[in-house]
Amino acid sequence: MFPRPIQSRSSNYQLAYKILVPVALFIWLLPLLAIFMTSLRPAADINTGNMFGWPSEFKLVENYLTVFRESQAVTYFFNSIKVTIPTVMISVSLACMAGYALSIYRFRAALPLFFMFVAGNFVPFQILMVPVRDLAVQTNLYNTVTGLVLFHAAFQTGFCTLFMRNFIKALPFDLIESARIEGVSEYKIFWYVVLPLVRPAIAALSVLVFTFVWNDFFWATVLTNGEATKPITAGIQSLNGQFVSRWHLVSAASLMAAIPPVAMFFAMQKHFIAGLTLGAVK
Amino acid sequence: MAQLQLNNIVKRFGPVEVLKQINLHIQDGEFVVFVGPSGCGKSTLLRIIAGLETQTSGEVRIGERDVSDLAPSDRGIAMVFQSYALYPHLSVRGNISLGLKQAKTPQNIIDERVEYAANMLALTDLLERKPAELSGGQRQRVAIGRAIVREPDVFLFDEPLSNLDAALRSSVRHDLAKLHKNLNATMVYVTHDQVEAMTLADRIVVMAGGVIQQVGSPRELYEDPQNRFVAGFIGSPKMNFVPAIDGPNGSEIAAEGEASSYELGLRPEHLSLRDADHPEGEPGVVQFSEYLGSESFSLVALDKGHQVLVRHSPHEIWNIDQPVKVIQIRDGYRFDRDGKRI
Repeated sequence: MFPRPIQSRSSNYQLAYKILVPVALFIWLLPLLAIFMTSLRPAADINTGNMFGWPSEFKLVENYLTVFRESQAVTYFFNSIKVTIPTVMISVSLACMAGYALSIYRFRAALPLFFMFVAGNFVPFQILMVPVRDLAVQTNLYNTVTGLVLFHAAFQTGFCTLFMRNFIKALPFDLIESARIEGVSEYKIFWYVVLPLVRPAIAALSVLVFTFVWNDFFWATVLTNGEATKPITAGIQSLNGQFVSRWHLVSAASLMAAIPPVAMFFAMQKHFIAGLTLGAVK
Repeated sequence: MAQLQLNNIVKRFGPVEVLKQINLHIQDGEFVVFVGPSGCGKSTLLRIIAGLETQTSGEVRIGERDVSDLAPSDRGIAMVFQSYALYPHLSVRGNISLGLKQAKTPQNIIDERVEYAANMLALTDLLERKPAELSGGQRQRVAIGRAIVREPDVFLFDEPLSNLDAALRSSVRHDLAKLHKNLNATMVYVTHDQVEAMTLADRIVVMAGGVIQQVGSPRELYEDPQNRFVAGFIGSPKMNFVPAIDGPNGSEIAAEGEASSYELGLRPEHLSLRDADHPEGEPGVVQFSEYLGSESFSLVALDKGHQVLVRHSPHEIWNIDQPVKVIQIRDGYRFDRDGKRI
């Protein structure tokens, strides 16, 4: 069995394990902790160089409230939601359909098409910055939520299709053939047979794409410039004034911005039940 | 119910011809079993009948209709898969009725047919369960139930018992035989297990290399095989094949390396063992003996260099390395160099 249960190892090994896991965890979480500590300092601490030491004063509540008072954090937050949720819905539903077609139907272009989806993921999106911004301006999508949704969906669908195609491909093909013999139409096979079986995959993919899009800073900065459309990742920047950096406020806002993806992970946890196909075929 | 006709079916995968000119006529209500070693094309042929695979050329007729180019669902067939192919997210009832629901069958007819099938297959108490909560045999029955409610002209079975353990296999086999009797349906069944073929079939189609080797009742195939392949494939343990020549008293086994004019096929039960001082028979030495309770088998290395398996009564005891004589208690089958029966 792999991994071997820790109980079956030597006692020295177990001891080392018990010490090293918390250490690794601490190192792993150190940046997060640093941001949290910054978010409860007063501005004076940062200006005087007390970056990592004990805060001279705890201003937790005050800092977090200032974020809401001095920026349009609520608007940014809703912008993020308005961008992220439709993007997830569009990419995942397109990916389910494309993945179904690529995995179930044997047509000549299936493999080249699939490779195109895969290859699309290898293009670094930074090199697309200028053309995409240009395109957005020309199509009047610059600085609109619709624009962000469309471009995000376009960039995410490639990866999503790769993901869904492989999942659907792993389903027993007998199920589809059996449904065909019973006269279930192709569209209904997709809807009543395939979709229920890939639900765990859809849940996992949705969380993943949600996180990707929510955390996106690049396109948010490239494709927006107004307060009314900025998602939270880009909006946080405005807390830094023109002349002063207020990292304690930026930290507080960042932590709040990170809550939805984390919450999403926990909320969808129960949908990640693998092995739904168990019992379909022996 | 209907007859099924295959006319000149050819199937090529690229340059490989997996089915060569298959012609077969299956009568209404007949239970026909396709047997053959793996890769002989029997599953491909079944899938062509089902419409899951397209034939390169040829014609499939069910009843009076040419169904060669019809979709699987329009052919009037139902298929039971080796893997059962049950929908894991649907209950037994949902699995059995999905096809009917999609065909917009009125609910009262769906209920009626589901109940009929469930009664016949003893599934009534399991209707609300999911496939994961069923045993292998129960899943198999659900898959059969799903076929029954479609009221097809032809039932197709693709190795339906090979995922079951031996004890269950024989009981489901009996159920299938009973089902065939009750429904009086045309059934086509693919298997590599000759016991299934022998027990279930009205007629067996033996296939090898994409060609039908012989079609006939189990008894015909066993007692009158037309070629060496069928003779070797049907019967367990296998028929013995030894080179032979015509001698003064009929066939005589040729020694290894000696010229022979044909091959002699001898089933283990057509041979018998005698003590070494017996006046007739081929001398040899016992290599090993297998005691199976109701019968025994001994492998004998003949002095002429060949090995033959002999079936004998479990009360006869032959020891390893014991010199014996093998006598023929029935004439063997003669096959020419191409494997054809002479």
